[in-house]
Parts: sequence; structure tokens; C-alpha cells
Amino acid sequence: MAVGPDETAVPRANENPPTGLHVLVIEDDPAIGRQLERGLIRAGYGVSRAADGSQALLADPADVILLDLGLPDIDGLELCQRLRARSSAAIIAVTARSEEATRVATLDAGADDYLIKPFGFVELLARIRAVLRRINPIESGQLRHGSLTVDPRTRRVFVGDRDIALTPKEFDLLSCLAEDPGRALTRQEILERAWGGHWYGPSKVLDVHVASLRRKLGDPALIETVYGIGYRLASIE
Amino acid sequence: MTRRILAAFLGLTLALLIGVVVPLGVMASAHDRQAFADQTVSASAALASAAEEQLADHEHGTLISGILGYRPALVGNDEIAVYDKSGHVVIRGPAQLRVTPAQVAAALSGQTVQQWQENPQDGLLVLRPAYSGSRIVGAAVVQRAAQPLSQQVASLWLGLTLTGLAAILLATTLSIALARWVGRPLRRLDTTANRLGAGELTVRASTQMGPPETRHLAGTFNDMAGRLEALVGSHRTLVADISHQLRTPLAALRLRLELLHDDVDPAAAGELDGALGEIARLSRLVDGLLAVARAENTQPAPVTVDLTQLAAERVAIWSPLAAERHIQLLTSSSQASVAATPGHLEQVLDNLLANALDVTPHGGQITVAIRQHHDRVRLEVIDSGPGMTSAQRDQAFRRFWTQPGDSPSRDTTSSSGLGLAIVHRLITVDGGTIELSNVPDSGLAVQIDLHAAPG
Repeated sequence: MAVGPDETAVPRANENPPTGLHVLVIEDDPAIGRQLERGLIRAGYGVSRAADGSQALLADPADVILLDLGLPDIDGLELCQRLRARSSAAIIAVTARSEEATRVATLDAGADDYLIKPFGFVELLARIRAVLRRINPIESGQLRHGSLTVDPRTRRVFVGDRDIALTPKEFDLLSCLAEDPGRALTRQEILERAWGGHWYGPSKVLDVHVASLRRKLGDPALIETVYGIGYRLASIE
Repeated sequence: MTRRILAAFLGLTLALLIGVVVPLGVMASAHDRQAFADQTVSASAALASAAEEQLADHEHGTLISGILGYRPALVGNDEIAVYDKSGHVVIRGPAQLRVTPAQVAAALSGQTVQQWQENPQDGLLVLRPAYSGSRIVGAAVVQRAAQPLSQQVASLWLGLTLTGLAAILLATTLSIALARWVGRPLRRLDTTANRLGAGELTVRASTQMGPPETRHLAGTFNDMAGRLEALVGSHRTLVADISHQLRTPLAALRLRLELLHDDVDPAAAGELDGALGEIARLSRLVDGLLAVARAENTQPAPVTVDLTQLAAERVAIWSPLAAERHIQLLTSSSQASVAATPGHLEQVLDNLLANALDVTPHGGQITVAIRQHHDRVRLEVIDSGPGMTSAQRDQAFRRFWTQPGDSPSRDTTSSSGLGLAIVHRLITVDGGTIELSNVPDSGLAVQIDLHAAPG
């Protein structure tokens, strides 16, 4: 898969200033923990780390908690429930297991979202922004691009005044393109963002949704195919 | 097996009937005949001794009273006659007796003559000499009708025949019962073995039915199934565990490379992109392996699925993409419902349509056809691509098989070589079959045969 230099770069602090938000990274694997800390600091977040459950329960309050479910001392779901009970922070569970039951159990245990390993920073930061938007709807801004309006809070899409009915997948696809109009997203990135990470099946399913989205939006040129890479929203003259 | 047990039982019974009962009947009827003859002979002896005195005295007048003295020895309507020593009839009953002069002469010469008459009604004719001292003074003739004898023999044979029929009936009933007793548990075991073979690893045979040998066999079968289940289970767990374990180092590697990407000059960044591409490929492969492990682990839970509607939905979803590529997506289907595990056929059609769209050139067409034939439903996806060679078709359902010329880096999903393996598994787990063939003037046809929904 050819990946252009712009697609994998970690967004810099100035691209997305999170105004002093704090992230608690609970991760027993030191390699992953260190990379996450570096990447999140680079993206403008304050970061503290915990290597196991007992440290996590003693940590300072945070705005977002990244919780690895495979900790050595406490069962991940149990820890998730205990963290939820004492904090209103957004919790994103991180797991290496993608089974449906695990996902449901994770959300039931109080997590706001989950990430399946291996994930990249683009996906991680997008998810952090998304859970923060959900917790703080006032901060949520509509995404505008020409006549296109995407409202992540109400999950509605307008072209001009026309309300466009989209399927959930089509909405997720469009909103990740609309977050940064003009930037080409790789197929892999879009699949990870819109299909909860690890869709396994024909990746052509993405092309299917793009084709259907183009029809519904009524402007086939709005979503551009970037050959060999993926898709982007066409820039507006 | 029922037929063989029945044949063995009936054969044995018939052999017994023919070898033992029939000779017994023949012997018994011969014995009856002999007894009849003996009685007739002794009747003639009684007549001869009654006639003897009178014949010696030539006093024919007293003969009648002598005959009357003989009466008690007469049975029913015996015909009697008495001859004097010169062969003249002295007395005879109302009916004509067929007695030849030669027979009379033989009796007068001292022989006892027994003659079964030609007319079976007439029965047995006995002539014997009447002695006075050692001198032959005449001959007594008794003819006894065979009717009682033939009745007796007939009822003997009737009894034997009824006994034989009863034996055959009993043998049939017993052999069918035996065959069922032996056969039913074996048939159940066969069904169970088939289900196990179809991947239903939790299925077990009943050890409560049939002869001890069959129960023992069922027990052995269950041991085997248990071991197989454990073995397959551990194999699948291994694949899943390894895949999960690979994800953590992959995540660390990916995050590290992404961070590094920002710190290096553009030339090195290009190299890193390549490395990230490889990581993405590896992640896809791990996901694919997990998908295969999951597919292989699925237990069939078939319900009635409206295949026509399902296919129409999948085609509707895929048609915008086909339209973008100027490919006609056609359906030709009759109404058909199949028995399938929910979710399987959607995945199957998505994979097949994705493959078909990959190989079909602009302006080509893809046909999805459904037709029912008795209790089977055929689902066919025909593309207008280049088709496959027979060697390729043989390999296509194996894991990690990729179509030659399919660059693995171009599309990390469709060329992971797992799509058709998963399709194959999803179809076979519900008892279906899948085959590939080339269609003349078109491309590849994927032919799937499924069980029609019952009812």
C-alpha cells in the first residue's frame, strides 16, 4: 500500500490545539505506553501514565482515559467499571481482541469508545476528539465545506438546505473526510475510522459506500478518488 | 442390513421346513396309510375267519349269520365279498367290487393281496384266503374306502402348512425386529458421524441403544469426537491467540514509526511510508486469519433465509459501484428460500461480488442467478473476466491463494488470499457445496448449491 507523506504524519499541536486537556494512558506494555505519551504530547495534550490497574486508580483526574484491557493485575472490564464509577472522564478502551462480545462488554462496562490494536495516531486522535465532542456537545462544531454541512452531534448532513439521509457507515465515512477537507485519507485509515478499525471482508465495501454516497450527495465530483491511496473531499475553488 | 437378516432368517426357516417338516409329514402320512392298510387287512382276516366254517360246510345259508358275526370288524361302508374255493362268489355287498379273477386265484393259492384301487374313492382292496385248519376253503374280500384316511392326511398336511406359515411369519417379524434393534443405533451413529464430519464438533452418539457392540462403538466414537473437538479447538485457539498476540507488537511498531516519520527528512520518510504500508498489510493478514478462525469456528445454526430478497439487497448495495465502473450487474432469480446460518450468505455474496468487480472489465457484466431444483437451490455469480485455469480453480479455496498477477500491495484486502477460503467455509458449514467453472464467452462462474428451506 503506497502511503503519501501527509497521511501518516502525527498532527502537530498547532493543527488541533486541545487547550490543556489531560490524557491518562493506562498501558502495561512500556513500548506502546511511551509512544502514546510522546505522540499525545506532540499533539498538544497533557499526559500521565499508569502501568497497571492499581496505579491507574491512584492517578490524578484526567479528561480522557486510554485504558488497555489486558492489564496484569486487574481485569480490564472491572477496572473500566471502577474508573467510570469515580470519574466522568471519557474512557477509550484499547484491546487486542476484536470479537463482538468484547466490544459490547466494553461499552457496557462504561467505556465511551474502543480501539483495536494495531491503531495509528490519526485514528487515535480522531477518536479522542469524537468522545470529547460527545461529552461536551457545546464545543462541537459543525463541519462545513462549500454547500456541504456535516453535524457530528446530530449526525445529520445537509447539501445547501437539503437534508440528506445517510446510513451510519456513510455518515462516518463522510464525516472523517469532512474533518479535514482536501486531505487524502488512505483506504486503510477510512476503514479503521468508519468500520471501527478492523473490518475484515472485501475492502471494496468502502468503494461501495463511496459510490452510494456520491449518488446521495448529488455531486459525484465532491468525493475525489486519489488513485493508489484513497479518497478526499474535493477542494473548493 | 434388514434385508440380509431377513434373508438369513427366512432361509433358515425354509431349510428347516423343507429338511425336517416335509419329511416328517411324508413319514406321518405313510404311517397313517400303513395303519389303514393294517386295519383293513385285519378286517379281512375277521371276515375270513367268520366265513371259514360255513365255507367248509358248504352251508351258504349260515354264511349270512357268520357275516353278521363279522360286523363289529366292519367300518362304515366297507364293501365285502366272499368266494368259495372254486372261485365262485358266495356273497357280496350291494356295490360292485373290482376284483379280477387273477386276484381271487392268488388269494385262493394262499396269498394275501393288497391293492390300492385306481379310483382313489374306492380305497384299499384286500383279498385273503380263508383257512379251515390248514386247508384253504375260500377267499374273503374287503374294500375299505380311503376317505377317512385322506381326510386324516389332509388335516395332517394342513396342520404342517399352518405351522410352517406361522414359523415364516415369526421369522420375518423376529428378523425385522432384530434388524431394527441392530440397525437403528447404527443409522443414528451414521447420522451423528456425518454431522461431525460436517464440522458440528459438539455432536455425540447415544450409548443407550442397541446391542452392546454398538454401544461400545458409540462410546469409542464419542471418545474420538471428544479428542477431535479438543484438538481442533486448541488449533483454532492457537491461531486466534497468535493473531491477538501479534497485534500488540504491531501497534508498538506502528506508533513508533509514525512518530519517527515526523522527525526524519523527506527521503527517509518515504522509506518509513513503505514500512508502514507493510505493517498495514501485516495487520490485515492478522485480521484475515482471525476472520478465518472465526469462520472455521462457526457452528451451523440454519434458519430459513429468503435468498432472492437477500441477493437483491446485496446487488442493490453493490450496484452504485458497478455503475461507476460501467459494469452491468444483472440478476435472474426465481423465488427461493434456503436453510442457512444468518449472516453467512451476506458475507459470501459480498466477497464474490467484490472478486467479480475486480476482474470484470469496463462495459462487462456480472450476473447473479438463483434457481431451485427440487430440494437444492443454486446460487450462481458469473463475471465476464478472464476466468481461471483448472489448476487455479483447484487451488482457489486454499488459504493465502492469490490470483497470479494480483499484486499483494495493490489492495491489501482482496488479495490476502483468505476471501474465498472464508466463503468456502461459510458455505460448507451449512451443508452447501461450492464450485468454480469457466463459462464460454463469459468469465468465471461460482456455483453454490444450498439446501432449500424446508416446507
